[in-house]
Amino acid sequence: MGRKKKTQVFVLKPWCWYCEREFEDDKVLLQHQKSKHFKCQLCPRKLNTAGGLMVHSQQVHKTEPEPLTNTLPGRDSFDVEIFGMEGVPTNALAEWKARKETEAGSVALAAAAAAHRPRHAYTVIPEADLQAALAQHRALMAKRNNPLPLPNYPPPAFYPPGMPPGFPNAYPMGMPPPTMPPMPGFLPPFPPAMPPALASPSVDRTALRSVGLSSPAPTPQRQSMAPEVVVLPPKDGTIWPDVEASPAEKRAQQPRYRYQSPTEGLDQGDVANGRKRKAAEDFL
Amino acid sequence: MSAGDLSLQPPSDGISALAFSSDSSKLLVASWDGTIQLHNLGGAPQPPMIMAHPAAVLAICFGTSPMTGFSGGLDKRVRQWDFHSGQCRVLGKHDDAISSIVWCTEFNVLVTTSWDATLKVWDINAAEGAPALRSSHALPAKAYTLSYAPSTQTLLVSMAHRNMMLFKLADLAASQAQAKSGDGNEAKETLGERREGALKFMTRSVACMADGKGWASGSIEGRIAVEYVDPSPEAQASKYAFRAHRQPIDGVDHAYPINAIAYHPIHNTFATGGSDGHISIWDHTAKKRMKAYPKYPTSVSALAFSPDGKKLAIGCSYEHDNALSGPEEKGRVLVLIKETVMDDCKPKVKA
Repeated sequence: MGRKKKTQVFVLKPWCWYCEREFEDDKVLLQHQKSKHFKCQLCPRKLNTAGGLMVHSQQVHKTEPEPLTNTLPGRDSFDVEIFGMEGVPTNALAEWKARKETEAGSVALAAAAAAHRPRHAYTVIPEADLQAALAQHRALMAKRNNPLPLPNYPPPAFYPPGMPPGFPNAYPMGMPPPTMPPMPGFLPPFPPAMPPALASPSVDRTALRSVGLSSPAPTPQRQSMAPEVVVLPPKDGTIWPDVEASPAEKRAQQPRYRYQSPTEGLDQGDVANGRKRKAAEDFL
Repeated sequence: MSAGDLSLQPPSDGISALAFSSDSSKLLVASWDGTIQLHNLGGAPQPPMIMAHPAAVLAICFGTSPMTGFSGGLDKRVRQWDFHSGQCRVLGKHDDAISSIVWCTEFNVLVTTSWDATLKVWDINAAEGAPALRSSHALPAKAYTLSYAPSTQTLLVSMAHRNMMLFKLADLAASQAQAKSGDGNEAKETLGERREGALKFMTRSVACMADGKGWASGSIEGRIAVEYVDPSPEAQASKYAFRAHRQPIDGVDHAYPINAIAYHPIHNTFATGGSDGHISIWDHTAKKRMKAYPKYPTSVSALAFSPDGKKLAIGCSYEHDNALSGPEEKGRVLVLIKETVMDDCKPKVKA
């Protein structure tokens, strides 16, 4: 089949089927195959092909040869007679070709990308988002200045023993938990000098959860936003048996795609609080 | 495999939508990595122009000019892009992620649908400060895909629970005037014509025929339906469905979601792409498959024909729908252009 690539010229180098290594030319490939794969285990003799090695073993050493050496798993048999690039199974050849082609494509494009830098437009924070972020920040600042006492803070028994007083992870009573900057995907700063013995996730989670429960109204929607998204496994050959939600919807619920609008933090008072907790759980 | 296709620099995460400009010279790629990428086709391969969003982008389209575009996604905002400056303007927002977006040149309006079960019509020429939203229409369920047939000016919305709705764009335009003249929430449901999808499972993709007489829809369970707009019993009797994008694995027939359908703008035949990594070309009048391309290394996420009918843009990436044959496929993303479709899609003339 003729090459139809107009945009990129690309040459397939000779390669070794046994170990999938590429070589500059056929001579080197033959040398490689002789010394790496067709070397007799019992004497210094190197043969040209797998068949040659087999005959050599049987006639000179009167034994069945060991499987071929230095090969990829499953490619150590004597059934395939390969000499350089001759005798390589056609399906393997096609697969290799396709793989090299995609690689060459991406490499060429990456090189082109490096040559003249793409115009990244990172200056796209729209006015509305900025305004909303500012408003949210103001609201948070106001809240911090006159803290509301929480209705029932977690009993001290939840704190791990030996935790220093005022430890940043256990929220001091009467203070709202530290608030999040209004950037999506931002993780809360965890205390860097936390002793490993105290950093057990269960303890942290308990502390966090008890704080969460003490917040005025834990919305049921938040509980459904558990870190793990439940995806129905394939059933009776149907890859996606879920009739309630599309793959895209389930995907959007995954932590890495989840998006919290900066303006919604204003609409519902405790969303910022909830988001903090959610992000913390992701972190754990 | 992908031999013979031109490959473009892919985004770093899955592809959600592809769109060609009206002059077929540019391609927009929307991705789950939160960017849209503008590729200049023709000439030497160039790196694309990349524009970032705060969340994954699900829908994209060009405006009348190839230098304007619109996007929407998980951040719920409708954005208008100027590709000269790389700047965007937020036209407004939905209450949930925007699933699909269509620009209608004839009426100069933008139509968006969202998982919040509304369809919104936007006026991009609204004066500075005035809301760009012209009207909002409640839909019976979460909307997944939109398809617009310029030849009959019909808009098709596919929704959750197999709901379908047909809108005449002229009606949508009329409703705008009404909403403006002040009688408030008169956005009546009677505007659209409600249909029930012919497939038993969730509709994953739809595309209107190039002649606007009907549409093809693909379900999540490897089945394609061809339906007609004409409500007369004869026309409705001619609708049909068939199985596609299936593979027997260990004796069990596996049905894959049909992620993408696109109609060829000239030959009026359609291409489907599934999570099985296959692309097929079908002729709905002859009820025949005309072409089955060799398997692609991962799921086919999106397809788009160029308006001149010479190119087919293919987006390959894992759709997070369980159709994964190896862990290495998870991060694999390809953007390909097939340039042989003018011949491949030509219906065979009966002797």
